[in-house]
Amino acid sequence: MQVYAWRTLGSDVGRQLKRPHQPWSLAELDGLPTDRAVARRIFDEMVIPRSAGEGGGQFRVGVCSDPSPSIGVYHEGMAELSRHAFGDRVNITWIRGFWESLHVIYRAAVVQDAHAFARELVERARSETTRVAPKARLDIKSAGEGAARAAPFFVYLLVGRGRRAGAVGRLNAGEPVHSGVA
Amino acid sequence: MPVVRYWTARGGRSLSPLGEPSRVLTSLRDSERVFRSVATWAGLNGLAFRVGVCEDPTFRAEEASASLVELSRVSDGELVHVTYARKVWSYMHVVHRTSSAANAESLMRGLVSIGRGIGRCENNRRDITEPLRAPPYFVYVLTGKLPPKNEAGPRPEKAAPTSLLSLAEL
Repeated sequence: MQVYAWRTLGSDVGRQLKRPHQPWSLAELDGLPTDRAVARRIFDEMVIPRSAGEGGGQFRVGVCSDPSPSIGVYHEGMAELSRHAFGDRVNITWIRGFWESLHVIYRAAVVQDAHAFARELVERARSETTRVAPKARLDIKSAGEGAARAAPFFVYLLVGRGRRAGAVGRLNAGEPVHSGVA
Repeated sequence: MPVVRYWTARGGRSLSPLGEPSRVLTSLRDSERVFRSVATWAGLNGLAFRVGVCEDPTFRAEEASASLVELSRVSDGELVHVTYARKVWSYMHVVHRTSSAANAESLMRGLVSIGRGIGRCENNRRDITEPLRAPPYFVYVLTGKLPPKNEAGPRPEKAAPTSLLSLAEL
Protein backbone atom coordinates (compact mmCIF):
# COMPACT_ATOMS: atom_id res chain seq x y z
CA MET A 1 0.00 0.00 0.00
CA GLN A 2 1.25 3.47 -0.83
CA VAL A 3 1.16 5.87 2.12
CA TYR A 4 1.19 9.62 1.66
CA ALA A 5 1.58 12.46 4.13
CA TRP A 6 -0.01 15.67 2.91
CA ARG A 7 1.61 18.98 3.68
CA THR A 8 0.94 22.61 3.15
CA LEU A 9 3.24 24.35 0.70
CA GLY A 10 2.55 28.04 1.11
CA SER A 11 -0.93 28.51 -0.26
CA ASP A 12 -0.88 25.06 -1.88
CA VAL A 13 -0.79 21.53 -0.58
CA GLY A 14 1.10 18.54 -1.88
CA ARG A 15 1.81 15.03 -0.81
CA GLN A 16 4.92 13.09 0.12
CA LEU A 17 5.35 9.34 -0.20
CA LYS A 18 6.03 7.66 3.15
CA ARG A 19 8.81 5.09 2.98
CA PRO A 20 7.90 1.79 4.70
CA HIS A 21 9.51 0.93 8.04
CA GLN A 22 10.89 4.47 8.45
CA PRO A 23 9.90 6.41 11.58
CA TRP A 24 7.76 9.45 10.94
CA SER A 25 9.85 12.59 11.02
CA LEU A 26 8.79 15.69 12.90
CA ALA A 27 8.74 17.56 9.59
CA GLU A 28 6.27 15.03 8.15
CA LEU A 29 3.96 15.21 11.15
CA ASP A 30 4.22 18.96 11.73
CA GLY A 31 3.67 19.67 8.04
CA LEU A 32 0.27 17.98 7.95
CA PRO A 33 -2.62 20.36 7.34
CA THR A 34 -4.30 21.68 10.44
CA ASP A 35 -6.79 23.74 8.47
CA ARG A 36 -10.03 21.88 7.88
CA ALA A 37 -10.64 23.75 4.65
CA VAL A 38 -7.34 22.53 3.22
CA ALA A 39 -7.98 18.93 4.36
CA ARG A 40 -11.50 19.12 2.93
CA ARG A 41 -10.06 20.22 -0.40
CA ILE A 42 -7.63 17.29 -0.47
CA PHE A 43 -10.45 14.91 0.43
CA ASP A 44 -12.75 16.31 -2.25
CA GLU A 45 -10.09 15.88 -4.91
CA MET A 46 -9.83 12.19 -4.18
CA VAL A 47 -13.37 11.22 -3.26
CA ILE A 48 -16.08 13.47 -4.56
CA PRO A 49 -17.09 13.15 -8.21
CA ARG A 50 -17.12 16.24 -10.37
CA SER A 51 -19.76 15.18 -12.84
CA ALA A 52 -22.62 12.71 -13.21
CA GLY A 53 -20.38 10.38 -15.24
CA GLU A 54 -17.89 9.93 -12.45
CA GLY A 55 -18.10 8.59 -8.94
CA GLY A 56 -17.88 5.37 -6.99
CA GLY A 57 -15.07 3.72 -5.18
CA GLN A 58 -14.23 2.38 -1.77
CA PHE A 59 -13.01 4.69 1.00
CA ARG A 60 -12.57 4.63 4.75
CA VAL A 61 -11.93 7.57 7.03
CA GLY A 62 -10.27 7.03 10.39
CA VAL A 63 -8.46 8.63 13.30
CA CYS A 64 -5.25 7.57 15.00
CA SER A 65 -2.69 9.11 17.32
CA ASP A 66 0.46 7.03 16.86
CA PRO A 67 1.01 6.45 13.15
CA SER A 68 3.22 3.40 12.84
CA PRO A 69 6.66 3.50 11.20
CA SER A 70 5.39 0.44 9.31
CA ILE A 71 2.09 2.04 8.38
CA GLY A 72 0.51 0.40 5.35
CA VAL A 73 2.60 -2.76 5.62
CA TYR A 74 0.49 -5.92 5.25
CA HIS A 75 0.65 -8.91 7.57
CA GLU A 76 -1.84 -11.78 7.64
CA GLY A 77 -4.23 -9.91 5.35
CA MET A 78 -4.29 -6.77 7.49
CA ALA A 79 -2.43 -3.49 7.09
CA GLU A 80 -0.74 -1.83 10.04
CA LEU A 81 -2.00 1.62 10.97
CA SER A 82 -0.78 2.69 14.40
CA ARG A 83 1.71 1.34 16.93
CA HIS A 84 2.12 2.32 20.56
CA ALA A 85 4.80 0.74 22.78
CA PHE A 86 4.77 0.87 26.57
CA GLY A 87 7.09 -1.25 28.70
CA ASP A 88 7.17 -4.76 27.31
CA ARG A 89 3.83 -4.34 25.55
CA VAL A 90 3.02 -3.09 22.09
CA ASN A 91 -0.44 -2.08 20.89
CA ILE A 92 -0.89 -2.28 17.14
CA THR A 93 -4.02 -1.27 15.26
CA TRP A 94 -4.60 -3.04 11.95
CA ILE A 95 -7.21 -2.61 9.24
CA ARG A 96 -8.76 -5.52 7.41
CA GLY A 97 -8.99 -5.72 3.64
CA PHE A 98 -6.72 -4.67 0.84
CA TRP A 99 -6.30 -0.98 0.13
CA GLU A 100 -4.42 0.81 -2.61
CA SER A 101 -3.32 3.87 -0.72
CA LEU A 102 -3.54 5.68 2.60
CA HIS A 103 -3.47 9.46 2.89
CA VAL A 104 -2.85 11.26 6.17
CA ILE A 105 -4.71 14.49 5.51
CA TYR A 106 -5.33 16.31 8.78
CA ARG A 107 -3.71 16.91 12.17
CA ALA A 108 -5.74 17.89 15.22
CA ALA A 109 -4.77 18.79 18.76
CA VAL A 110 -8.03 17.53 20.24
CA VAL A 111 -9.45 14.06 19.68
CA GLN A 112 -13.01 15.37 19.43
CA ASP A 113 -11.90 17.65 16.61
CA ALA A 114 -10.40 14.72 14.71
CA HIS A 115 -13.46 12.51 15.15
CA ALA A 116 -15.89 15.31 14.33
CA PHE A 117 -13.94 16.12 11.18
CA ALA A 118 -13.78 12.45 10.15
CA ARG A 119 -17.55 12.17 10.52
CA GLU A 120 -18.03 15.41 8.62
CA LEU A 121 -15.96 14.08 5.72
CA VAL A 122 -18.02 10.90 5.48
CA GLU A 123 -21.29 12.84 5.52
CA ARG A 124 -19.92 15.34 3.06
CA ALA A 125 -18.84 12.62 0.61
CA ARG A 126 -22.26 10.99 0.76
CA SER A 127 -24.26 14.16 0.28
CA GLU A 128 -22.03 15.62 -2.42
CA THR A 129 -21.94 12.36 -4.36
CA THR A 130 -25.72 12.10 -4.18
CA ARG A 131 -25.96 15.64 -5.51
CA VAL A 132 -23.37 15.41 -8.28
CA ALA A 133 -23.59 11.77 -9.33
CA PRO A 134 -26.68 10.09 -7.87
CA LYS A 135 -25.96 6.79 -9.63
CA ALA A 136 -22.40 6.54 -8.32
CA ARG A 137 -21.66 3.55 -6.09
CA LEU A 138 -19.69 5.17 -3.33
CA ASP A 139 -18.63 2.92 -0.44
CA ILE A 140 -17.45 5.27 2.28
CA LYS A 141 -17.65 4.98 6.05
CA SER A 142 -15.63 5.30 9.20
CA ALA A 143 -12.88 2.73 9.60
CA GLY A 144 -13.79 2.30 13.29
CA GLU A 145 -13.47 4.18 16.54
CA GLY A 146 -9.68 3.98 16.34
CA ALA A 147 -7.16 3.94 19.15
CA ALA A 148 -6.42 7.58 19.83
CA ARG A 149 -4.27 8.02 22.96
CA ALA A 150 -2.32 11.26 23.04
CA ALA A 151 -2.18 14.39 20.93
CA PRO A 152 -1.64 15.04 18.11
CA PHE A 153 -4.41 13.11 16.38
CA PHE A 154 -4.47 12.34 12.69
CA VAL A 155 -7.28 11.84 10.21
CA TYR A 156 -6.49 9.43 7.39
CA LEU A 157 -8.25 8.36 4.24
CA LEU A 158 -7.95 4.85 2.84
CA VAL A 159 -8.55 4.47 -0.87
CA GLY A 160 -9.56 1.05 -2.11
CA ARG A 161 -10.20 -0.56 -5.43
CA GLY A 162 -12.82 0.86 -7.77
CA ARG A 163 -12.06 4.46 -6.91
CA ARG A 164 -13.14 7.21 -9.27
CA ALA A 165 -11.06 6.87 -12.42
CA GLY A 166 -8.49 9.60 -12.82
CA ALA A 167 -8.95 11.10 -9.39
CA VAL A 168 -5.76 9.87 -7.83
CA GLY A 169 -4.03 9.98 -11.19
CA ARG A 170 -4.40 13.73 -11.24
CA LEU A 171 -2.68 13.96 -7.89
CA ASN A 172 -0.01 11.48 -8.95
CA ALA A 173 1.18 13.93 -11.55
CA GLY A 174 3.00 15.72 -8.74
CA GLU A 175 1.05 18.90 -9.17
CA PRO A 176 0.19 20.58 -5.93
CA VAL A 177 -3.50 20.85 -5.25
CA HIS A 178 -4.39 24.51 -4.98
CA SER A 179 -6.08 25.13 -1.73
CA GLY A 180 -8.28 27.84 -3.28
CA VAL A 181 -10.88 27.54 -0.58
CA ALA A 182 -12.67 30.28 1.21
CA MET B 1 18.33 -13.01 23.22
CA PRO B 2 17.15 -16.42 24.51
CA VAL B 3 19.78 -18.82 25.85
CA VAL B 4 20.08 -21.73 23.41
CA ARG B 5 20.29 -25.26 24.84
CA TYR B 6 21.13 -28.17 22.55
CA TRP B 7 19.77 -31.44 23.93
CA THR B 8 22.00 -34.44 23.41
CA ALA B 9 22.30 -38.06 24.54
CA ARG B 10 24.99 -38.76 27.11
CA GLY B 11 25.04 -42.56 26.97
CA GLY B 12 22.39 -44.90 28.30
CA ARG B 13 19.11 -43.08 28.84
CA SER B 14 20.78 -39.90 30.10
CA LEU B 15 19.91 -36.72 28.21
CA SER B 16 21.66 -33.39 28.65
CA PRO B 17 20.88 -29.82 27.51
CA LEU B 18 24.57 -28.94 27.28
CA GLY B 19 25.35 -30.43 23.87
CA GLU B 20 26.38 -29.00 20.51
CA PRO B 21 24.33 -28.42 17.34
CA SER B 22 25.97 -31.36 15.58
CA ARG B 23 25.05 -33.76 18.41
CA VAL B 24 21.40 -32.81 18.95
CA LEU B 25 19.01 -35.75 19.48
CA THR B 26 17.91 -37.58 16.36
CA SER B 27 15.66 -40.12 18.08
CA LEU B 28 11.98 -39.16 17.96
CA ARG B 29 11.38 -40.95 21.23
CA ASP B 30 14.13 -39.05 23.07
CA SER B 31 13.02 -35.74 21.53
CA GLU B 32 9.47 -36.30 22.71
CA ARG B 33 10.76 -37.21 26.18
CA VAL B 34 12.76 -33.99 26.37
CA PHE B 35 9.84 -31.96 25.06
CA ARG B 36 7.50 -33.39 27.70
CA SER B 37 10.05 -32.53 30.41
CA VAL B 38 10.52 -28.99 29.13
CA ALA B 39 6.78 -28.38 28.72
CA THR B 40 6.03 -29.78 32.18
CA TRP B 41 8.83 -27.71 33.73
CA ALA B 42 7.46 -24.63 31.93
CA GLY B 43 3.95 -25.35 33.19
CA LEU B 44 5.13 -25.78 36.78
CA ASN B 45 6.95 -22.45 36.59
CA GLY B 46 4.10 -20.54 34.96
CA LEU B 47 5.92 -20.21 31.65
CA ALA B 48 4.57 -20.35 28.12
CA PHE B 49 6.25 -22.22 25.30
CA ARG B 50 6.25 -22.31 21.52
CA VAL B 51 7.43 -25.06 19.20
CA GLY B 52 9.11 -24.38 15.86
CA VAL B 53 11.40 -25.64 13.13
CA CYS B 54 14.50 -23.90 11.82
CA GLU B 55 17.83 -24.43 10.10
CA ASP B 56 19.94 -22.13 12.24
CA PRO B 57 18.94 -22.11 15.93
CA THR B 58 21.20 -19.17 16.83
CA PHE B 59 19.72 -16.98 14.11
CA ARG B 60 16.19 -18.06 15.07
CA ALA B 61 16.92 -17.21 18.71
CA GLU B 62 17.88 -13.69 17.62
CA GLU B 63 14.66 -13.42 15.63
CA ALA B 64 12.66 -14.71 18.60
CA SER B 65 14.09 -12.03 20.89
CA ALA B 66 12.63 -9.36 18.60
CA SER B 67 9.34 -11.12 17.97
CA LEU B 68 5.96 -10.10 19.36
CA VAL B 69 3.56 -12.51 21.03
CA GLU B 70 -0.12 -11.74 20.78
CA LEU B 71 -1.91 -11.27 24.10
CA SER B 72 -5.32 -9.94 23.13
CA ARG B 73 -7.31 -8.93 20.08
CA VAL B 74 -10.29 -6.56 19.90
CA SER B 75 -12.34 -5.90 16.75
CA ASP B 76 -13.53 -2.34 16.14
CA GLY B 77 -15.38 -1.97 12.85
CA GLU B 78 -12.84 -2.87 10.20
CA LEU B 79 -10.05 -2.13 12.64
CA VAL B 80 -8.39 -4.76 14.81
CA HIS B 81 -6.55 -3.66 17.98
CA VAL B 82 -3.95 -6.20 19.07
CA THR B 83 -1.85 -6.09 22.23
CA TYR B 84 1.48 -7.88 22.00
CA ALA B 85 4.19 -8.74 24.51
CA ARG B 86 7.82 -8.39 23.49
CA LYS B 87 11.07 -9.84 24.86
CA VAL B 88 9.10 -12.87 26.02
CA TRP B 89 11.38 -15.82 25.35
CA SER B 90 14.28 -16.59 27.67
CA TYR B 91 15.29 -20.13 26.65
CA MET B 92 15.40 -22.05 23.39
CA HIS B 93 15.61 -25.81 23.78
CA VAL B 94 16.73 -27.51 20.57
CA VAL B 95 15.24 -30.98 20.95
CA HIS B 96 15.62 -32.69 17.57
CA ARG B 97 17.84 -32.74 14.48
CA THR B 98 16.86 -34.32 11.17
CA SER B 99 17.74 -34.08 7.47
CA SER B 100 14.10 -34.42 6.43
CA ALA B 101 11.98 -31.25 6.35
CA ALA B 102 8.80 -33.34 6.29
CA ASN B 103 9.87 -35.23 9.43
CA ALA B 104 10.77 -31.98 11.19
CA GLU B 105 7.40 -30.41 10.44
CA SER B 106 5.56 -33.59 11.33
CA LEU B 107 7.36 -33.76 14.68
CA MET B 108 6.63 -30.08 15.29
CA ARG B 109 2.90 -30.62 14.75
CA GLY B 110 2.98 -33.66 17.02
CA LEU B 111 4.75 -31.75 19.79
CA VAL B 112 2.28 -28.86 19.48
CA SER B 113 -0.54 -31.33 19.90
CA ILE B 114 1.12 -32.86 22.97
CA GLY B 115 2.04 -29.43 24.32
CA ARG B 116 -1.55 -28.19 24.26
CA GLY B 117 -2.41 -30.95 26.68
CA ILE B 118 0.44 -30.10 29.04
CA GLY B 119 0.63 -26.34 29.40
CA ARG B 120 0.44 -22.95 27.73
CA CYS B 121 1.41 -23.71 24.15
CA GLU B 122 1.53 -20.44 22.16
CA ASN B 123 1.40 -21.99 18.69
CA ASN B 124 -1.78 -21.00 16.90
CA ARG B 125 -3.52 -21.35 13.56
CA ARG B 126 -2.08 -18.05 12.33
CA ASP B 127 1.51 -19.32 12.64
CA ILE B 128 3.27 -19.21 9.32
CA THR B 129 5.92 -21.86 8.70
CA GLU B 130 8.76 -20.47 6.64
CA PRO B 131 9.97 -22.67 3.77
CA LEU B 132 13.01 -24.64 4.81
CA ARG B 133 16.11 -24.72 2.63
CA ALA B 134 19.16 -26.87 3.35
CA PRO B 135 19.32 -29.57 6.07
CA PRO B 136 19.89 -30.24 8.88
CA TYR B 137 16.62 -29.04 10.38
CA PHE B 138 16.12 -28.45 14.08
CA VAL B 139 12.94 -28.64 16.12
CA TYR B 140 13.04 -26.26 19.06
CA VAL B 141 10.93 -25.14 22.02
CA LEU B 142 11.02 -21.53 23.20
CA THR B 143 10.07 -20.94 26.82
CA GLY B 144 9.41 -17.66 28.57
CA LYS B 145 7.28 -15.63 30.92
CA LEU B 146 4.13 -14.41 29.25
CA PRO B 147 1.48 -12.31 30.98
CA PRO B 148 -1.89 -14.02 31.35
CA LYS B 149 -4.32 -13.23 28.53
CA ASN B 150 -6.64 -11.38 30.89
CA GLU B 151 -3.79 -9.11 32.03
CA ALA B 152 -2.84 -7.95 28.59
CA GLY B 153 -2.60 -4.34 29.67
CA PRO B 154 -4.87 -1.41 29.02
CA ARG B 155 -7.21 -1.84 26.11
CA PRO B 156 -7.09 0.82 23.42
CA GLU B 157 -9.11 3.80 24.50
CA LYS B 158 -12.20 4.48 22.50
CA ALA B 159 -12.78 8.15 22.01
CA ALA B 160 -15.96 9.40 23.59
CA PRO B 161 -18.61 10.43 21.08
CA THR B 162 -18.57 14.11 20.36
CA SER B 163 -21.13 16.01 22.35
CA LEU B 164 -22.80 19.21 21.24
CA LEU B 165 -20.88 20.99 23.98
CA SER B 166 -17.49 19.85 22.70
CA LEU B 167 -18.44 20.79 19.16
CA ALA B 168 -19.24 24.28 20.39
CA GLU B 169 -15.78 24.51 21.91
CA LEU B 170 -14.03 23.82 18.62
